[in-house]
Amino acid sequence: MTSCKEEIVKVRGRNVKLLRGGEGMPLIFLHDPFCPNWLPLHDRLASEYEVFVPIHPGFAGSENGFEQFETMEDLVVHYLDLCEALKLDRPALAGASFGGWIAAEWAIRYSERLRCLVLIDALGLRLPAAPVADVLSLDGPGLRRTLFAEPNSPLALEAIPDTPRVDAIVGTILGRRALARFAWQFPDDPRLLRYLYRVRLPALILWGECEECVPSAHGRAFHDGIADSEFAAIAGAGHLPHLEASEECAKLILSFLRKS
Amino acid sequence: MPWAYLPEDFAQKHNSAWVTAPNSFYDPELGHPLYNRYLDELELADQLGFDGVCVNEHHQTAYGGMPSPNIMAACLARRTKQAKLVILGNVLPLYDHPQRVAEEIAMLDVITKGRVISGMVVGTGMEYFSYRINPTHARERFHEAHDLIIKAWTTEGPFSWDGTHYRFRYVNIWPRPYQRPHPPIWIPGSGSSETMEWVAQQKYTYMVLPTLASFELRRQAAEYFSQCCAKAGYSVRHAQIGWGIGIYVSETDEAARREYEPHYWYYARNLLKTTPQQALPPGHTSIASVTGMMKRRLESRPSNLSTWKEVDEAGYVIVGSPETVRQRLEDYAGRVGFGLLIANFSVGNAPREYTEKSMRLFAEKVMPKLRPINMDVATMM
Repeated sequence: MTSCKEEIVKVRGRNVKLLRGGEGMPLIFLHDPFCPNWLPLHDRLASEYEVFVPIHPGFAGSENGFEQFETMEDLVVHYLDLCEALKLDRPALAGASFGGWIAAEWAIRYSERLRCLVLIDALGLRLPAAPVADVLSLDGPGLRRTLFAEPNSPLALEAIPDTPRVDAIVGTILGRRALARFAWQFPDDPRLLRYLYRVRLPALILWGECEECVPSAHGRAFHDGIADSEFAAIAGAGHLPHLEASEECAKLILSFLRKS
Repeated sequence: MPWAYLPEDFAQKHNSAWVTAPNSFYDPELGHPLYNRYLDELELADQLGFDGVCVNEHHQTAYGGMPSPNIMAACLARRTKQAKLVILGNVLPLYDHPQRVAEEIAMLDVITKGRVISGMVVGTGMEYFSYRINPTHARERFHEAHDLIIKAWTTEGPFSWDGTHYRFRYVNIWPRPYQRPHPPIWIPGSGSSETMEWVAQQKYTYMVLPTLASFELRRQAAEYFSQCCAKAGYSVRHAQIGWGIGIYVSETDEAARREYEPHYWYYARNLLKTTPQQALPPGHTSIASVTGMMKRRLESRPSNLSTWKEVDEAGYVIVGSPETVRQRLEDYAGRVGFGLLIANFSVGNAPREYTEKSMRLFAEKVMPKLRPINMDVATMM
């Protein structure tokens, strides 16, 4: 097991909480909005790569300066700035859910600065025939049903309790506010689909087979839109396969990274 | 202006009377007489000598039938004679063109020769779901829209507005408001501290909303507002504190409770029903306020009350004979220091004859006794 280090990085005067671990080629993992933590999957990836999990602007630990962030473009520029601050050269980029959306927006603009792309149940596409769940309208049990293949597993109950634990209330509120800023009701960029051709990178698209939040049509659309991409459905997982099926995800991601 | 015809099992089957409550429950055939009855009651208030009649704005809800408060105020403008038209208020952040609010209020103010009081609100969390306004911008949009409206009323146009949320090259409203410098501003609130601080700085009137909580929590809100005024460098005026509350007057205490209670439960259990997610969307309220409210408000809202004793003793409403109602109002006014009473006479699905009787008894037997303690009375439906 690799244990992660937690540090604060200054990016253009703002504090960014960064979790990092492992050695090797750099891999940035952009977290989902529900579990802004170092996860077992990160440990697995850190056995071969140097893994960076920066906490998104607005989430607990990176909330300072959040008022400057209005659009997805601001987040992309923020991550370019972070790469410069960390002196990362052509990192591999992975993102899950909301983090996958940021990764996709980054990749359509600056794919030459990346080595390869992994998208896990990414938000971001507007597909009117396959709408995404309105997660910010749901209570704990409703959210678990939407996010997990097994909503009442210990894993799911730990990630999304019925009512937030007292020590987690502020973190939960901050995370929901940050998500709402960019993803209120329609977590998408209507223009993303038509620019996917700009992703000139090897890409791996992973999608939970029991996905109730972002329909698998979105995964297929990412796959169709990105020329050099492969798609894999993850059995026994919903919207968060990196949590619910972390071993399976780790294997697929590591084998993809080795050949990319 | 509650929708009075929800089925008995509504609260069992639906988790909210807002945003997603199926509008198949709305029947325009029943809605026509209902609208006109509520408007009749507000006109009656004018005839009975109430100082004001109030309307408000909510969307996509059985709670009230006034998505446009300005339309309701327009209906009342030429059929009332002396009462102020209190619009409590327009939900500013919902609108991409705040000038529309400035224009409509100015129209009403000129038509009524200055009888308009303009309320401005951030709005409930539910409205941000209904209108898809990003709740993380709620406060900023509210303040910028307010500043723009005040400037549109008080500065000779044309001028341009280059703000964060609003940008207009030409602001130049016609008509300008009748009242100078502009209609009085009342801000209703449900206890959020940042609202109270701002209202105190602006020297506006703060109205403690009736749905907030028990008497004690609401008294604390009023007290905090007074402290905010002191912090802003002046003593709060009685007329700056509005006290919203449900009132019902009947011949005796027993009759009052018997007539009122079932309709109160219809209101509390059905119409106030909402989900915490709808009520507090992210960013709508500051983190400090949300943490406090999460503990306080959602536990103690009337929809969670179960017995009349709790409702009565905690002072959610004032129900009784004229003498009982007078005593309690004087007691409350003495302890809170409010000089404005915003009485809600219509509750839930109470029939017209009850509401009218209650208003008449109040006007005849209670209101005259409140005048010596300098209390103005407005009514809302």
